[in-house]
Amino acid sequence: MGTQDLSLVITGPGGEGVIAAGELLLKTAAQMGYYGLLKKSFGAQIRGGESSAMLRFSTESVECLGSVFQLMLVMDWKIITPFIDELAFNKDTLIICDQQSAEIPEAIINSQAQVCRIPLTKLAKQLKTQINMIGVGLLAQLLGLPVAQLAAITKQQFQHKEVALIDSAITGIETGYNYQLPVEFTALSNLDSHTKNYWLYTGNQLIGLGALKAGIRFVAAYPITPATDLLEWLAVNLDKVGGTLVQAEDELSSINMIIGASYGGVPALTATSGPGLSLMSEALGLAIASEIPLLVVNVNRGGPSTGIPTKSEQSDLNQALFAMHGDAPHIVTAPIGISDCAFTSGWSVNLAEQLQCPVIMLSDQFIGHSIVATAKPPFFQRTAERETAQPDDNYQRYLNTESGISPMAIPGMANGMYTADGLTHNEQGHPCTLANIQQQQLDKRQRKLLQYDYGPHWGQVDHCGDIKIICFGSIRSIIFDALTPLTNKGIDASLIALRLLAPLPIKQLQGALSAATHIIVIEQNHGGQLFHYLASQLFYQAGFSAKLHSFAKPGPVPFSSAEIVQFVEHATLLNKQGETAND
Amino acid sequence: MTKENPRFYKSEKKPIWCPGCGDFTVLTSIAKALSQLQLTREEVAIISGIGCSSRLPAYTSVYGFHGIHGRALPIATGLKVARPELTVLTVSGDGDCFSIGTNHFIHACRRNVDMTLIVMDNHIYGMTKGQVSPTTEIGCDDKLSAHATDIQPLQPLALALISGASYIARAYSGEPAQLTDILVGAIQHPGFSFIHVLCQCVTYCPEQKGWKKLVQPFAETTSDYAKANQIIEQDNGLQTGVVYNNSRTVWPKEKTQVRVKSVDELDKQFIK
Ligand SMILES: Cc1ncc(C[n+]2csc(CCOP(=O)(O)OP(=O)(O)O)c2C)c(N)n1
Ligand code: SF4
Ligand SMILES: [Mg+2]
Repeated sequence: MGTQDLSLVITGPGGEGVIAAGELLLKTAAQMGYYGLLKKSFGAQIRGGESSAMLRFSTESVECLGSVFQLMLVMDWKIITPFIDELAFNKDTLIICDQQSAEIPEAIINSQAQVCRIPLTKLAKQLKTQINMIGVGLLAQLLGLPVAQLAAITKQQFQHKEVALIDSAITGIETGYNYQLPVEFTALSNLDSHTKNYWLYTGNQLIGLGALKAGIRFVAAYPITPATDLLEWLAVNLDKVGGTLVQAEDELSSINMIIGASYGGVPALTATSGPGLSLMSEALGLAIASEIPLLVVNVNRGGPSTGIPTKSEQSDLNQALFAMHGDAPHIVTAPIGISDCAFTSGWSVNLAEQLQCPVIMLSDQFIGHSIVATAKPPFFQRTAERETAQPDDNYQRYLNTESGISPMAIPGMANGMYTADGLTHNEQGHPCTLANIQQQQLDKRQRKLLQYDYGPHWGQVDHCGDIKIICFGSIRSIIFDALTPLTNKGIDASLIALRLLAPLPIKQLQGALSAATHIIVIEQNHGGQLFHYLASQLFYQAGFSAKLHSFAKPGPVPFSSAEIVQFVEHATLLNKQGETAND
Repeated sequence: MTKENPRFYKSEKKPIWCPGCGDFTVLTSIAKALSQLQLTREEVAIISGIGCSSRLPAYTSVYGFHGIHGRALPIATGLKVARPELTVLTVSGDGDCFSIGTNHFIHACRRNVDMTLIVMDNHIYGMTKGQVSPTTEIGCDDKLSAHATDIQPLQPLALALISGASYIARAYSGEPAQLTDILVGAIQHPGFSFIHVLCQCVTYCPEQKGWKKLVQPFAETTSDYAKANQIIEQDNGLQTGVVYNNSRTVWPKEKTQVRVKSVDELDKQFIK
């Protein structure tokens, strides 16, 4: 019997094909029937910095890494040593490294992990092949992946490269595959059911796909890591569906361009990351006041300021919720994981269009850049279009309706002519400073968001238990992995992942939290932003007797399910002993 | 009222402008130009930023967008690219376009989207009550300093030319007939057209009433870049007329066509 859930990492200098190597293994394992995840990790340099492909294979769908790597392939210790603390290994880890590489770091020696030195560089030189390909062969041998399939996938993945290069890659793979390794390792067990068709995508791509299916036909944006590849995907695919992408001169421009397009009746989005979102906040206020539907996808990287562009964090929550001046109700959503990206982006477009208001969708670098091999993801089925007007002579753009949604005239419609305005305006759209008008229009814009029925999509609840864990975004899958170990320790925890962050689904949360003894808010940022948000909106209310705990940790290292088990155990145990645990 | 009557293109709203403000003439000239071109009102959109001048869209009866300070051009660009069949005008002020929004001005000139920009330049921040703007002349009173301004004014025409604008003109709010003609030409011009309007602020710069005696026509309209450069270099800022009119590829080249039967065809790339 082989293993059925395995994590491994390939690490080396940027530009050495670490990610390509990871992709080959992912695709081969997927063809064997395994679900898989590939998390890419880069240093800031374009070339030569540290670069890792972290993989997990499992018989269940996976969206995060395991707590420990069972296998590591290290091309060069020199590059990876400074980051060694960011990798999870222990005495059961098997490490393959290059004989010629720098000294093995102390942390590895102390862990008693098994290290196997192979003359990778020498072999690669002798056989005129690449180290990464020998590495792929070695790993395939250890994992028990079929080499013929691996070779076929390699040829396909490199089909646009020179023949000589493909040949040398195959040589490398075969060399690694047939190399007599002096170690034992339990391979992946053979699966009966080979998947014929599986889906392979990144979160960024899936956000794009969901958005186009929901009707987005105009995009304006300014490149920024880690949103750039989402834009690149959109550029190519928008073109196919008759849409346009404009590379704007900056984010001040991109957000205003999509306001213009959406005012013109064309569903529009922009994608950015923290610094870009900062630049957009004034225009987001304009979209709120002038009631223009739009979607801003924010792929969160480490912040503040330029921060850590290539690594994941959930630290833009405050900005997404509160960046706008004045009273500016809008919608903030987050995907419940990588496979949920298309559903959430589609739903977000739908909300924006129906509620005539900007939606900020908070994704993150982990979701955006990780590749998963899995089943067909869910898509949001469009429920309604933007409510456009059939204007007559008395048309009022900002009519104070019961739902708060005022039918929108679109340029080209006769009788609908109005001037959209960020100035406080009356129902006709005329600027007006009267107190009752300010009150009326603020009420209207808030009411349309609060009265709307978000249905079951506000979040996802897994497992039952009096201990409630609340989170959003990429860390849900890591916390999910902690639930079974917690149950094994006699701790029944229920996991609530929010898809709708604003307006906060207070009633639904109250229901989900009704019997809570402990509420634990877990998030990847330094300040506990979600915790404080929930505290101010929810926990302050009477009837909340549960003990509150905040587990907030900034990037760049992802949470591990092991540390979550530890935190939850500690927090709830203290209480059993009668101590307070308001950490 | 019909398309023949310029008043058809004005709204009922009473402008907030001071009596005698140059912005009135620009409004009337725009209405006249739209009337001359017999444009259907719902097919026209006027986009603006923030400032006295930027209040203009609501005083017309076409579609309008009164946006935020400095960002009129991006809104207009998004609208025009998404809805190429519309006629899109942008109205802006010297603060709106040459200070907070300068970057967009440069890129709108270079991008060459088929739309018209009208900057109502009064060399002052009217709306915020008379601070210097990027086009204020050296020696003018500077409210945010203890001294008169001693910074070189920006040269909008020169900036437009080197940035790639293909239709460059100047008009004067005291000569509405000329402005109307220029507007008609600008709207008809394929690509980005820029009209710099000397637009008097009677409240904070009453001396601008003297422009009447100082303005003079440009010696010629040229399609030659070097020649235009020469004329603009020697310009004293008070010459009017179309100085540069050249044809350049309009962006985007054409509206993209749908090339898939259904958006679900995009799924294929992900299925292995
Ligand atoms: C972001 C921002 N900063 C500052 C202001 C204040 N403000 C309003 S209008 C204006 C200057 C307008 O000058 P100009 O564009 O020349 O228009 P004019 O009033 O002279 O026609 C300023 C600074 C604002 N509305 N928004
Ligand atoms: S302050 Fe100057 S620019 Fe503003 S309306 Fe009055 S005259 Fe016109
Ligand atoms: Mg001005």
